[in-house]
Amino acid sequence: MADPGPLPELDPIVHGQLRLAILSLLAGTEEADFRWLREKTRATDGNLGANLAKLEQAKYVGVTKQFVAKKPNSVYRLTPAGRAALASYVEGLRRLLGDSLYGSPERDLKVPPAR
Amino acid sequence: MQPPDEKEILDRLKLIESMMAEGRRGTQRWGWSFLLWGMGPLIAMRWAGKWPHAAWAWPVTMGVCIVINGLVIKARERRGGPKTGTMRSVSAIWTCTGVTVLLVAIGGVWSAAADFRYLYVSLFALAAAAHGASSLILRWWPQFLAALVWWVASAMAYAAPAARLGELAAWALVLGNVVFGGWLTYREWRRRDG
Repeated sequence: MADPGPLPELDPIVHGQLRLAILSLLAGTEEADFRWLREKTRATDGNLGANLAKLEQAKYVGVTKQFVAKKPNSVYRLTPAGRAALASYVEGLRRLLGDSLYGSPERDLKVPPAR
Repeated sequence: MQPPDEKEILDRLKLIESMMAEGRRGTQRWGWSFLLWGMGPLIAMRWAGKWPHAAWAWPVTMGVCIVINGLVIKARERRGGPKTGTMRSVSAIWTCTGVTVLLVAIGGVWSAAADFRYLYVSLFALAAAAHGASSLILRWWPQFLAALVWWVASAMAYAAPAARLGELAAWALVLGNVVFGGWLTYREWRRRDG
């Protein structure tokens, strides 16, 4: 049997549950605003803002701050580095699970490429 | 970092999968738009045929439809939401088709350069192409039925007697836009409440 190699290190920035949810939501879209992310993650403004700031700091998400009808509106998108980090995190989880993933739908999970 | 146990890993993978699906899922409602662009031309046809100031029928009804359409889309943009490649593709098809339909119809009638039969044929075909392309992008067969209605109408417009072309247009508008839009609005309303 082939040696699976050392256990993969999971990126601690991606591993946080809320940050993982944010990255996954953004992976399915081109961009999304703060309000929609809050609605989907059911996080509080403060918690979501803090986690988005961490992802921004890691350059995993990009942000455009704009005004819509005189109200501030931040629009977030996944950067190529964020997409790569999420893909590598999924790969790491798969390797950790190994054979027990066979037959489960998560086995075919793929991070979509940027469009 | 301590490696997560099997249950946690599976939970994480499920979370990633469900959130990605949530991002891809279209939550926008468009039934109203098909109803608007089905009812608008029907009202214009009725007005032009039976009511006073017939010359104003098409400019006024189409102008009102454009304003309503613009206001709803503007209000929706203010509410925010995600943007996906699929949404951008479908929206591009309908925007370009809308502009082309207006250009062909206004230009054809105003210049009197276009043959009326070919005007009907091309307008029906444009509606069919937009419905068909949208249904293929969304992989959504009910909209393909709407495209079929318009394609059949376009083919029939070649052979129908000139006096019946208006009737053919009315049927295509009812089946291809009003019935489709009404059904879609009902479905969206059910989904919102369910």
